[in-house]
Amino acid sequence: MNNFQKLAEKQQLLDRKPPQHIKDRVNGTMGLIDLFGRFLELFVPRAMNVLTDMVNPDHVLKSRPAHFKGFVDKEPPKYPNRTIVTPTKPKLNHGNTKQFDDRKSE
Amino acid sequence: MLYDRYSGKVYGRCISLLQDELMAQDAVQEVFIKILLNLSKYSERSRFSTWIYSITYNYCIDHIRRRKRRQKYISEDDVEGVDVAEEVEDSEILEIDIARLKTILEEIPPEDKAILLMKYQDEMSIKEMTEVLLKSESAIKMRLKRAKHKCKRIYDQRYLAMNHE
Repeated sequence: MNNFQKLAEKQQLLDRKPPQHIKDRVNGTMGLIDLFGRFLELFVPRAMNVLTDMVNPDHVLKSRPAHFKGFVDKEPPKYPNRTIVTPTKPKLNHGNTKQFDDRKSE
Repeated sequence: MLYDRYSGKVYGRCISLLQDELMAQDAVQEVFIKILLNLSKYSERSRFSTWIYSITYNYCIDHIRRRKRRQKYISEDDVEGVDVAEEVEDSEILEIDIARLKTILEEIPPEDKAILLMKYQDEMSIKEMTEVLLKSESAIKMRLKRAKHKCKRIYDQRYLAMNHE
């Protein structure tokens, strides 16, 4: 044992265990990093898809054709007997009109 | 398991380099997180313990440099500017009394201290030191020579002068 090793031994530095809370801190930090990694793994691809869809709507059809199976490839369904109804403006306060009229007549 | 096996040695190196137990504890935490995050980068070219020590030494030296930059200690020029014409023999360093050695190690720059600890305390070979410090063999030899020279110079200034008086 040389003088450097004797000095380290004297200072109890050769194999001195750090306090337990350091181990807990390492475990805690690694746990957090792991959790953050899982979060990124789960949400980053989804977020990227959403962002790409927003920038380029064609991407929706190209990247996820399974979602649109039977919709994109086939002709849209036809309903020959259906008549197209144009929506009319709804009457406001329909139920109360009579009530107001009754009051007026009184 | 990895922590239980190496934490003692890493903690010891951190205390001897940083000279502060609390800072050494923080360093152990940082070093182990680095080790665990970079496990996949470990190549089996060097021993696993050498790889761990390289992370430890580099972390500690970086930490000291950052602290030194804040406190403005000795500049790098002072370290590099040492005249190293003559070779200092290992025996001259190894004969220094441990109390004096402790004082000298506290006075020399951390890079020199680290390289002396690797050489004499850990008994690393030059090849292992090149893996730890990521320098060429000749650069390591030169740094070691400088470190020994600095060590000897401080010893002479402090203790030989005292003996003559």
